[in-house]
Amino acid sequence: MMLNTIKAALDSLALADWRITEVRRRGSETYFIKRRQDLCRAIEAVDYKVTLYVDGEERGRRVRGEATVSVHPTMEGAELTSILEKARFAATRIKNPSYTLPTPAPALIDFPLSAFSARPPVEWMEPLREALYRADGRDGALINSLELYLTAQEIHILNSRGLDVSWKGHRGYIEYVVEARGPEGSVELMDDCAFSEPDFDRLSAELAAHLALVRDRAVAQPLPTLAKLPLLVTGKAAEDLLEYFFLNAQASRVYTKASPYAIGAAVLGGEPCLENLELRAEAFLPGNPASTPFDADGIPLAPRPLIDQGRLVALSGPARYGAYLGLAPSGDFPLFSVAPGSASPEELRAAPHLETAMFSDFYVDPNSGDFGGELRLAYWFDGNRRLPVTGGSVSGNLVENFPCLRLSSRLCQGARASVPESMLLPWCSITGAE
Amino acid sequence: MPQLPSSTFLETRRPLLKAVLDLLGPQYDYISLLATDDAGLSFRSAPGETEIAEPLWVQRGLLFRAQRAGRIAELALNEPSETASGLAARVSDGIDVLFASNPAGTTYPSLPDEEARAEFHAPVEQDPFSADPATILDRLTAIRDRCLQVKTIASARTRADFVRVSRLFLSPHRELCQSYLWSQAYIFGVARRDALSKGSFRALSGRKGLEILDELENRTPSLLAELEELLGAVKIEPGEYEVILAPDIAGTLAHESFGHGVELDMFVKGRAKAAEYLGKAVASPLVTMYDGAAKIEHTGSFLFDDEGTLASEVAVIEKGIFRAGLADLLSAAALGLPATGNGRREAYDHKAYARMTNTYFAPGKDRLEDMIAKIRRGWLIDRLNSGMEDPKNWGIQLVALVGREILDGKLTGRVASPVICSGSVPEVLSAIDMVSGDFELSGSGACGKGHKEFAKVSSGGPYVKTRMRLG
Repeated sequence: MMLNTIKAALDSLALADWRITEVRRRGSETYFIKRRQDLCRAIEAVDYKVTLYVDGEERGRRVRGEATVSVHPTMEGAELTSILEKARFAATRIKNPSYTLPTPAPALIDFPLSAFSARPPVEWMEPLREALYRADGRDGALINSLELYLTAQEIHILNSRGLDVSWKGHRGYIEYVVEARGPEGSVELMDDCAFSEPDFDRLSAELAAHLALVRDRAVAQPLPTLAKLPLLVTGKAAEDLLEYFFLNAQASRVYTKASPYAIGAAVLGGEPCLENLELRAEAFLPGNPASTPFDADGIPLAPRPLIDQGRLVALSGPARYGAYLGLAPSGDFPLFSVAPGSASPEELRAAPHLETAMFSDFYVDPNSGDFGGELRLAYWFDGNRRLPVTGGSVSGNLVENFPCLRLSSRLCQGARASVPESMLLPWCSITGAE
Repeated sequence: MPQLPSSTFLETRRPLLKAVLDLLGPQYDYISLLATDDAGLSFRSAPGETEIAEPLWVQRGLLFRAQRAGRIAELALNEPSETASGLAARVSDGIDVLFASNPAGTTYPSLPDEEARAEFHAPVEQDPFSADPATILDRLTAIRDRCLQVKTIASARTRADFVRVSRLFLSPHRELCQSYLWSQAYIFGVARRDALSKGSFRALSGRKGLEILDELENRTPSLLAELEELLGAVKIEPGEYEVILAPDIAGTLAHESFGHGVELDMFVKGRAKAAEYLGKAVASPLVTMYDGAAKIEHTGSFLFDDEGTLASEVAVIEKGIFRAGLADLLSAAALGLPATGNGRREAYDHKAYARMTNTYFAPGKDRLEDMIAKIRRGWLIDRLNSGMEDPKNWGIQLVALVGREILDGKLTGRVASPVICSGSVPEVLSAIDMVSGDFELSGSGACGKGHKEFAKVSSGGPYVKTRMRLG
């Protein structure tokens, strides 16, 4: 077995520690153009990542070096030995502060098997297709193309300190384009969605919602230049904005001072804010394929507040950064959540505003908090009417806006987080399309 | 200069893989195999630590593509059986399951499989795979430390990635092999004053080895100066402006507008507005644009693509007229056109799509200083963050970190950041009224198709002057 082959090769090197991550994948993919199946694919693969650690001394202090290398299942004998020896040599060139690898600890959360486990991925393709296409063609909007992926994964992490953890998961993913015809011709919207359970109603609703959006885009007017209008950012863009805080609570950014945050300090300089910022690192969000019971070091994960009442209380990150910063290792979390805000969705939409629906690509700068993007679809509420608009762009700065922004009391589930479904920002620029 | 050798893995298994294809051939109307063995090194230096790892481009695996009665199926695996008969049986079982699951799938004309045998092994000036990692880390750390000496620089990190690409393409009539090296290197800096943080970077790339670090060291002073400027940057007043796009921005305009816009799989799906404009004017007569892996040497260059089609160069726009798109094998077959060598996969286990390679505007005759002198009120846009395509509706989005104000023909010294550039593709391209004689390509980062399927490309060209909406 390859794991034993790798372990035996590692044991023959003079290492302080090692870690092996094995990921086995079996996947099915189907590609559709309109309703027609275009292409089918299958993947069977196993991937190994090996990290080698060596210890030393530099100017009287203990140091640790490490290097990570891919080991392919076809490697054996001289090739395997050579690649590991080169990685060991590379590790001796690293002189980072010393730290110890995690030792065995049980999972802290329940991590149930996905319902997808009942059948091989290829047998789920047709039921998923049926659910995704349920709303196709409704009121003239249709699915132009859709890519459907489902992968069954088995992850196994072991290290030289006796840590040995494994778990199974499924990653489903769709990327789709919807189109509709309007007075100016045909328009489209593109989006994607990841899932870990056969929640057919959720997937069907996702496509139905976007078919409704593209019908609106088909009749949308060019965005006028709107001065001094608050911006209501919704959905994925809201998640991207709130991820700014999660990224700056990463131990790697705090350690390297890319993030200005410090444990115990207010993340927004202590200025009073209309909304309390409560952000938590999450290991598991229902239906989210990024959920995991252990991080890449094998540290068991459990939900952990990172920002409480606007103050940084903990960091997320790999074991080494905890040691570098003198903190207990908390784990490297893939997901986060932000607590609901104080404003109902209706309250946020009561006064004139521009509500974003879909961007071409939403930009958020993790250093400055600047954000912006071109609008594929938005809704302009002028106090009386809610009009679909398209084109033009918006920009602003999250840090400047946060003291006065409002967060929705309703949550939504995104690709990486559970967050308020919208936020109202008072100070943004809106560039019209004409 | 020594040449990059073939991958030992691919060479030792070539006879077995050919034997597998011999066994599979009678079962299918078309069968081919792409075998990959890409190795990589990634060196990083940040405050308080250094790191040696691998870039995301590392891969080793096999991709079988079969056609039967017009339908196409693909199987990717990386744990091949030891014997040709064992591997052939496993592949045919897997592909037959796929065909059985797709009885009404799209049928394509027979995929071409003309005779072709070629090998390419690129020369390497300074091989990073045989260098002492300490020398690379020391150089990256020195650049990092030089940045950190500046009081307003809160954080700085450097990175260098080196990827050795090795590919083998086999079919009953084709045997193609290539190996080459590409690299990219970065300096990232974060400047901070009180509660304000601003980041910027320098990036280099190319078909080169350690010599890239010499160039990286030379970029440090301009990055430090720019970070200081960004701390005083203003917000741009929304509106339409005359703009000069620096080569990385102009190249991305080309890439997003008539790169993604003419990937022929979009034509097959009815997603490309460009399909209505073949042979028609889509840009000013000053605009000529190319894409190709064959003639330019940069990160998007190769001998053959991931479907075994030899590289070419496509004149996409000639003097403002849209001439040709970029075709992968399946799109070409569906449209009755020749493939152009633009069929690319993120990795062996990903589908092939029509993708760009090296995409650029041809240089013109103008000088940058004359272009600046022509602008009464506008901006010089520089330092690309990202772009996004809109092949159906011909919008364009470019995000830049630096805008330099021009008033009455002179740079004022005022800097805006960030700059969200948007517009309508035909309007922006038709408004190009000056094209400089400069030529620079950038191939750092990656090109996505939508939000996934990352391919290594380059884009660039000259400075171009046009009009865009900024905000």
